[in-house]
Amino acid sequence: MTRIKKLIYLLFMGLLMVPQVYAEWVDISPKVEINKTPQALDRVNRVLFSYVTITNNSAEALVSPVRLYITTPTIPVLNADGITDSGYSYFEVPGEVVSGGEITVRVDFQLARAELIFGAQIFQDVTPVEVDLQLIYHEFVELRGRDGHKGLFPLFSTPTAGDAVLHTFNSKDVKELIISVITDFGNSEFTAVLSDTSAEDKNEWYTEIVLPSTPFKLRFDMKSAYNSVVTTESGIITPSTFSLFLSLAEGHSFSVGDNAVLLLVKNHSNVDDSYEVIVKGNGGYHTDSLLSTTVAIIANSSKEILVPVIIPNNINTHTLTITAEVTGQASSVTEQANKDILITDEPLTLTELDSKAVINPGSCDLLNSIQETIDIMIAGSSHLDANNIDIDTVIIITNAAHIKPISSQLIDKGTAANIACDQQQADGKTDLVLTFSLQDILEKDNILDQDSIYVSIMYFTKTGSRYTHNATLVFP
Amino acid sequence: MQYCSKIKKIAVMTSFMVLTTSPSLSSAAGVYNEDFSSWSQDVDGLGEPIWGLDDFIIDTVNNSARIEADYWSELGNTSSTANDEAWFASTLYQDIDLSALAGQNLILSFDWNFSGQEASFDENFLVAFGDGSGNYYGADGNLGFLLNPLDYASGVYSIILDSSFLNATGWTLEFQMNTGFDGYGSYAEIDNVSLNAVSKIAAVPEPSMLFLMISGLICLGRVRHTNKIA
Repeated sequence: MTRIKKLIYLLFMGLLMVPQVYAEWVDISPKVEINKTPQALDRVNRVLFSYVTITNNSAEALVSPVRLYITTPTIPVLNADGITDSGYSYFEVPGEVVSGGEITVRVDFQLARAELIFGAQIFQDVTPVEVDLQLIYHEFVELRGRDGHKGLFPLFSTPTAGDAVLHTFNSKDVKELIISVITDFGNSEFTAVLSDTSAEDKNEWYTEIVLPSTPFKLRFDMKSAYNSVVTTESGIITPSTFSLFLSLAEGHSFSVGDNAVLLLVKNHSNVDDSYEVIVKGNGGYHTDSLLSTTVAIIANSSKEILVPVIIPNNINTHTLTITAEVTGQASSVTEQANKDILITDEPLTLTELDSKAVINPGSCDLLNSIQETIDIMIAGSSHLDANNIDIDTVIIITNAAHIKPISSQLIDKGTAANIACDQQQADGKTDLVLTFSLQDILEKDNILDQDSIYVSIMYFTKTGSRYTHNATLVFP
Repeated sequence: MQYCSKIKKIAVMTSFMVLTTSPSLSSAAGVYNEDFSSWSQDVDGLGEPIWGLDDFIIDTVNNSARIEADYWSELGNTSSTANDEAWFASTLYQDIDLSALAGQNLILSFDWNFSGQEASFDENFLVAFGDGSGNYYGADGNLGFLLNPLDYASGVYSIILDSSFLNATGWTLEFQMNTGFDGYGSYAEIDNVSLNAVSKIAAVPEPSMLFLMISGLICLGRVRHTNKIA
């Protein structure tokens, strides 16, 4: 065999192996009564026609697709909707004919002066609905068939044992749907049966199914309007038996100092379990785990775990990703949750020159020798809107006392950049300038004889975020 | 007895009249036939007949119309001279006025006679409403015919039209004779075509009609009683 012949042969075999679906039309004429009128002339369109009336004598409605076959006519048929493989002209019977109802279909014939005799039969398509069922979490599970047989079965979120919900919507041609939840081991079965017996609008069937803790399958037994039953079964689904939720412990943003995130672990299963918890951060200053512990959680309950996070001083604004990995010891399944946290360490800038005081970073003199006050500017930036600072919460924290400012002013005075005080200039962003009594700081801390002191300025924003700035007051 | 027989006949006829004509006429939608001079004639969907043969015979004295088909100069010989022009069908039709007031019904009635030259005819006589599309409709507004006798027969046709016809426009009333093919013809005679809008008030027999009807029923009872004794 030459190469070309082999190729043609393979192509031919390939064509034969392509799966094809054929409609299955069944003669249901015994279920109906067919009456035909003698021929009449359509004088407008100049064709002969006969009205064929179909009366549904069966107990069930006659639902499309239904066709009227015209057999052995003595005059050629015109305007048919199609021709069958057997060569019969056919006309689609539209809509639905209820039990005892009737419908009239007009059949056209060529103009001819001849005796018109023809046979009429009713066929209905009873092709089993083709089903291609896939279960994909977070996506729709869709029964696919020909038009009019589609049903949507969205699996609501990742299947989680205990509280997973299955929503079901069916097309109107689906007459009955049985959804079975079958445990992989056959121990139990939960079934929902949907039927159109009471539903006026069959397009909105709905049910909920509680999914088991153990691996399970979903089975769909769908009965079509033509009483054909299609059964489809999913693969094994291993449900998630617990879930994680990681959030900030307080506020909306982190700053330097002590902070915390909150990890919520929820046990969805019906059995008690213990969980190995490891929380990590991706920042370079968190090379070790933030938390490593084991917690026990009883069935159908949850536990909150506070995870401390310490943010070092003098760091640039960045995002810290906290990752929690939790492994259920019963299921040996590991779930992971992540939380991105914006870390801000806004530069603290002190203003007003004085030869007796130096501030780090920078080298601005602090002391106003005339008024004996110190002005501290919290510079507004793209990360911090100074208008959002709750001024009543601002304090200077020394070793001995919390000192409130004696006055404050919202003004565009400088920049957030860590530059010398005498080079500060407006940057278009509002700053908060706080005036403290230097005497208060020095006397309350009893540091009159020291060369320098460490202070922190702390405040809350109006949205609840806490900020802390550290500085050193130097008295040369 | 002879008197009772006559009375009984009159009573039965009167009963029929009461049932079919007693609704009080109000705004007449129109009496249509008169001498059929205003009606349209169509042969084979091609319009008015050309040769003036016997397809449509209008009796201007009695104000009736006759439609015939498949008549030949020699009975049963389709090779002889044709008496009719139609090869497929002759249609006598008229635009109809379906206007009616609230609370009124439209009642259509006509006299008809379908007959011809053979016992087993192959012509098809039908009466129907047309909507201009080529389809025909019955009194219920569905696809079909008003009248489509399957045997030679005659009668008075009277029916209340479905409410969907009320004040509809663009409709025609059509009498159609579809031809056979064996050389033996058939004809249809039509007379007294009327379409009236009548109030929906229940029919009340008039006193004289009521008297005749009761008399007929009494006589009917007596005849049956006599027959039982005999």
